Amino acid sequence: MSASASPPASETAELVQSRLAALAAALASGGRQATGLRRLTGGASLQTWAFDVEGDGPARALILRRRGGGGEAEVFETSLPLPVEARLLKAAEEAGVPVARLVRDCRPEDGLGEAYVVERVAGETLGRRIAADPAFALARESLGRQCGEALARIHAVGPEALPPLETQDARAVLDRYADIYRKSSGPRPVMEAALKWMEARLPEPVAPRLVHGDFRNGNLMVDPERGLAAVLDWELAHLGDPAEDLGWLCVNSWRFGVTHRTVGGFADLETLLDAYRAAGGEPPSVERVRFWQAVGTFKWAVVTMMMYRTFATGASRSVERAVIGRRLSECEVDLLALMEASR
Amino acid sequence: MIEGPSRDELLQATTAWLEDASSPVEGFHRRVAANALGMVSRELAQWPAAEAAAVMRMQAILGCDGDYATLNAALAEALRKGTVSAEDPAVFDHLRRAALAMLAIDQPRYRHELSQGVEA
Repeated sequence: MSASASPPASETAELVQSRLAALAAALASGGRQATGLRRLTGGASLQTWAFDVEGDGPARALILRRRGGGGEAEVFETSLPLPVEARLLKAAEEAGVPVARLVRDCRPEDGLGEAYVVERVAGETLGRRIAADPAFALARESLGRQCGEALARIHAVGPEALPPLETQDARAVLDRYADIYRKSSGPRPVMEAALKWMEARLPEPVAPRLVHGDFRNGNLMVDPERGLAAVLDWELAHLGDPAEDLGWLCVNSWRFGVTHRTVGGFADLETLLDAYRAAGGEPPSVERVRFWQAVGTFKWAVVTMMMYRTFATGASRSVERAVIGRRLSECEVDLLALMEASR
Repeated sequence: MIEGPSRDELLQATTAWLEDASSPVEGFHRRVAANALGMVSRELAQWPAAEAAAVMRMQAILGCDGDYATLNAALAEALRKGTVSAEDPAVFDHLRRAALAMLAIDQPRYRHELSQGVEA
């Protein structure tokens, strides 16, 4: 990716280290020093750092999320500003959703730019391990139910608790991705057939609710024994159809080879919907979930096209970016499977 | 149709990676490169027959001649306009076979729920 105008990595680390050291007292009771700073993600403009604050008690394990100065274009969508994400985390926590607890919504005088600090939650996020590793067998027994409960609570968050968010109904989402597909690919019969299938099944609009927008295996922090520890990655949150979250969680790409477990490769749809109802949610029909699963699959197909475009246009020369274009075949097979099941 | 990346692009990207002395050497990048070469070799072995079969099916559906790219574009356009429907079993059968043939080249180990269909 392009280097643009961002400072070198070591300079950034020094700045973050000194700012966090100055903030230590605000981050932990008796906080004196920030130690063990390390960058967890690189590349995109959004930075994630892990660090500890030493204070009165045991060291407090924390995460800093921060927008870098590089301004690299995001590949797919505009993500929410971090102060909005911080307010969402707070609202979700108050609604009983397991999230990383907000410790500080950073202010300009903190000198970190757009940033917030949350508690560091222990666990695993690798989807393949969560779906298939024997070490997570116990977690898988409760994970489907816990996801249903968490989603019901997210969808129940009242508008008064929320920052301003964009509303995206089924029509808008479908039109947006159909448009990107037509601009980034030659004509593809399966994609056209899938669009017709989805248009014929466009669900009745519902009153817009808070939608997480990226609730899937891979964005869930999972404890091997206790299951769901935290719902991560709120940057695509919006207002819309709650069934969008349920459908996205069922997309085959996030089942990591455990295809017969519809929900993230770890649970059945019935388990998810039962728990959703038990937690006070009004579960959507299976057809509605399937519709959004198809939209999600179509969306992921478009994302693979866009990632390949960064190679084709010369913006990236990595082999990885090239081969991802060949994951479109997976999405097309998944779209046909959904169409076949509805015949 | 196999569009992006073409096998030439895959070969060029992999060759460039191998020739660049500063390429990261961790197992991940090596596996990605090997994966790219696997796609190229499966395409060379499997795509000619799959393409010929797809051309025959599309000619029957559309009632016209042409090479794969022309017919495939025409089929996409007909599906978009609604003059051809995927609810027609012959059309769906073609889409299924074409998609499975591409998956066998691109990601042969991917697990999915699409049936193999009735053998013709």
